[in-house]
Parts: sequence; structure tokens; C-alpha cells
Amino acid sequence: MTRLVQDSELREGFKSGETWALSAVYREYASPLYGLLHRGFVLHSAGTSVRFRGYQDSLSLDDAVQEVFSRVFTERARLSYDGLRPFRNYLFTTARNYVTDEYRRRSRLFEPINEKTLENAFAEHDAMAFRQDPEQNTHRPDPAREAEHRELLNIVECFVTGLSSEDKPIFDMRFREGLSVEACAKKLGLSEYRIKRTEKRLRKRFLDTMQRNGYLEGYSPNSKVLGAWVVLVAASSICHSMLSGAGGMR
Amino acid sequence: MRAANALPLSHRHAKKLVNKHFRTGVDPKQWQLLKGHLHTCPSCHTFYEQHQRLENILCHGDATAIDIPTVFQIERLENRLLGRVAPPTSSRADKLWFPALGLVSALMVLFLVTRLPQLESDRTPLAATVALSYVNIDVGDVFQARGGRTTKSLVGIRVFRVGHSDRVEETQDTGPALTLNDIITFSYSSDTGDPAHNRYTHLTLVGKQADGLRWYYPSYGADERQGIGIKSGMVDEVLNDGFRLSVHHSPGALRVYAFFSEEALNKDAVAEALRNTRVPAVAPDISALSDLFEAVEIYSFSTGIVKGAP
Repeated sequence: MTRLVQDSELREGFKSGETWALSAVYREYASPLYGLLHRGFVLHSAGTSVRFRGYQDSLSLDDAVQEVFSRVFTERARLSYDGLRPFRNYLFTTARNYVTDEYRRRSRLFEPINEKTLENAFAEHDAMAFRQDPEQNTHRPDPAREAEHRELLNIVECFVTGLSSEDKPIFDMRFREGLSVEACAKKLGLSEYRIKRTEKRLRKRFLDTMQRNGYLEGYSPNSKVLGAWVVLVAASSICHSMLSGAGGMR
Repeated sequence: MRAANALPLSHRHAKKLVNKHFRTGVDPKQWQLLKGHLHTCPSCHTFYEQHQRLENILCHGDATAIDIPTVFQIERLENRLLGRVAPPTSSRADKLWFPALGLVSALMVLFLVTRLPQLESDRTPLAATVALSYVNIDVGDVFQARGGRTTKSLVGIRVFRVGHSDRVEETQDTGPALTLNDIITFSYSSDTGDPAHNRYTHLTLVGKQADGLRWYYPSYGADERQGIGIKSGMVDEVLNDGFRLSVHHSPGALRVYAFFSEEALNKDAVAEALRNTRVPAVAPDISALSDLFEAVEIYSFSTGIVKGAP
């Protein structure tokens, strides 16, 4: 996690805001930041210790990760990073500042804590990350939720089992292993287009499957394609006139 | 502030944007609109979370693992983030590939049709229900910048056969060879691999056979600047026009040149781009051949930068 400290080219690229460098930094640190902002941590603000529960829905989590990266990617922040401290710490401090700002605006995500809770909250491996709420760890299983989860898993397993031998490696690498399109294409000896197209098709098929099973009410898989072809048919007359004018540059 | 953002979006529009977000991603402006709506609309928010849960279970086998982002989540956020914060003149790719306004990147696709039957002159309007069938694949390109860093790029076109079907469906890459009875259409990709520098806004297509130019699209008047208006940063967007091969085409090879530009081109600029574009003596991409119709050979390559409009 000290790549920015070790790689001077990356550091210089980052400082001058070059896109490839920002992308590399983002890819390196996005996952830990997601983890931190989901798990939560303890804040000290205006003499009070509060525990930030963490963002528990994807939208807020995505939003917070984007905002934190936006902050560290501003010119001022980039230039103020000295390249000596681990960037992860710098990023996490920015995240804490962001959450503190949020705390000043909102209060429902925070609860007062005492010193004992605070001690228990420290994570083992990271001075800034804290363990999950003990209450969350002792949640009793909800039978209805568990049944739904099992059903979901069954549908997904059926879907995965039904994949063709051509699609399966692409699915495994992209969806399960999280490889980039580029890496996946290289590994399988296929074009990036092929990977993207297969991925798009698999995703569509999966969402169609889920919709048939009662999920995603409001999902409209074919609207764009149908729309494009309605326009295509309507545009056939334009095509006619276009072809009539062919050869005009000879 | 959120309430103000939420106003312009209807539930229907919001759900469409959610679908788009999870299919191909939305641009930063759409994201702001969507986010504003989702924060104030529990039903659309639930719809969004349901989508994310399904993505999580598909990728991680656990719908509740929201602290571990999926690769698609990472990529969507990266596109929004870098599209928003990257300074417009600082990337290496920018220095190398966009040295001045008005330069045109020419990407040429050559496909050889070897089994065309006799020329027919009739033309039939498209049926109300049509299907796309891939004819050509893989014009993806990698722009190699000096210094070893590469910028992924998907700039180019693909060729489709327009078929007839009871329903619209995406077909596989296999099928019979093209004939002069076929109608072809195109999709374009204009993603330079660098969201901050997706500047292509126009596309010009030129069809050429052994005995000369067959067509260009759009057609040009004397001093007109024209081009197919395209969106930058897109992947595989289908154009809304098709060509019947029996019109103005002969049996034999057909080359389609696709010129992507930052502005509409005039006739002289297209002519100059054509003059400067050379077909290199390269073998067909063998790895791609397995995906192709037996009678069609594909060559795809980038010719880099050529001078644009005067």
C-alpha cells in the first residue's frame, strides 16, 4: 500500500494530475476506502466522541467514495501530498474529514460512545479502521431474509451453470475475479470488444432471468435496442436518399 | 438542494437511468440528477439497491457484501470521477494524440467480401422487424504513447448485417457470408480510453471498391462541412442508416474507411484523409478469423493522426 511512495513516476503523474496516474491511484485504493466507509470508525469532534456507523446502502457508499476521491484529486490536495507518508493514511484522513463534515450536517448516522466502546472499536491492522459494531455481529438471522438469499443464490447458480464453455471463462475473470477488460482479453487471447460484448450479453441475460423470477420490477432490457430499430426503420427513407447521392466525390 | 435536484426526474426516467447506470454507466450530469432523485425517492432508491444487490451476488456470491465493490462498480465510479476531475490538458495521451484542434484520427476498417453474387440494382425498404447479425468484429485499438504507457482505446466501427426476424435479438458472431442482397449497417465506438479526452463528435464513412469510391456518408456539397453527429465516449452505438449492397456495389472487396473527428469535415478534408490513409500490407488478424464468416476477412488498424480540415 505504499505504491505512491515507491513509484516516483506515478507520484509525479499524480501530482500533475495526469489521468493515467489518477486512474492507477484510484484502482489501488478504491477497495480499502469502500471497506472503511462501510465499516465505520470513531470520530472526535468538538470534544465529543461519536461512532460513525458506516454507510449501509450502496448509493451513499458510492457517493462518499466518489466525494473523497474528488477531494484528494483536487490540484491543491495533490500538491499538498508530500509523497513520504503512505497515501492510504492520507486518503483515510480525507475520508474522516469528509465524514466529519457530514456529521456536522447530519446526526442520525452517529451515536455517542464511551471509552470502553472506543477501545473495543479499534481495528487490529489499521490504526484508523475500526471493528464493526458488536451489535451488528450478534444480529439474529432473519429466516425470511435467509430464505430469500438462498433463493437468490440458487437462481445465480443455475445461471452460472447454464453458461456456455465460451462464456464461462469470461464470466469467471470479469465478474468473479474482477479482472479488467484489458487483462481479461490478454489472458484469454480475445479482443476487448469480444469481452465487452460478451459481458454486456451476460449481464442482460442475467437481468432478464432475475426479472422473470420476480426481481427488478421496472427493468426494461430492450427499450434501447427497440428504440434504435424504430429509428432505423423510420430512417430507411433517409438511407434511400443517401444512397442516391453516392459517388459524389469521384 | 437534493429536493431541487430531484425535481426534473420522473420515476420512470429515474428507473431508466438506474438501468443505464448498471448497464453502461451514466455521465456525471446524469449521475447528479439521478442521485438527487434517489436520495428523495424511496421506491427508486430500492430499485437501485436491488440492482446493486444482484450485481453483488453475481460477482461475489453475496448480495450483502456492499463493502467489497464489484469490478463494475469500480469502473463506473472511475469513469464518473476521472471524467469530472481530470484537468483537460494534462494527460500523456492528450499530448500525443490531440496536438491541435482540428486534427482527425483516421481509423480504417477493411473488409473483403469474396463471394458476392451478381450485382442487383433493386433496393428493398427495411422490414418493420429486423435483427442485427455481426459481420465484422474487433476494431478496438490501443493507442501506444511514447514512454511505454498505453491508453486503452475503443475507437472504430463494426459492421452488421440487417436481417429479418420476428423479434429484435442480439445474435452471435457466426452466420452465412454476405451477399449483395444484404443490407449492412454500422455501430461506432468513440471511447478513447480517457474519459477526460473523449472529443470525437463526428464520423465520416467512405466505401471504396477496386474500381474507386462507391459512397460516402454523409454526402457532401461543394463547401459543406458534414459528418454523422456522434456522442463521444460511446461503445457500440448503432447508427440508424443501412446500405443495401446491391446498390452501387460490385462483387469483390469493399473497404470502409471511418474517420473520427472533433469537428465536421468538408469534402477536401475527407479527400485529404483518404489520400493520407494507406492500407498496410498486413495479414488478417488470425485470432479474429475464428469469429468471422468464412467469406469475410477483416483487417483493422489505426493510421494514427492525419491532417484535418484547412
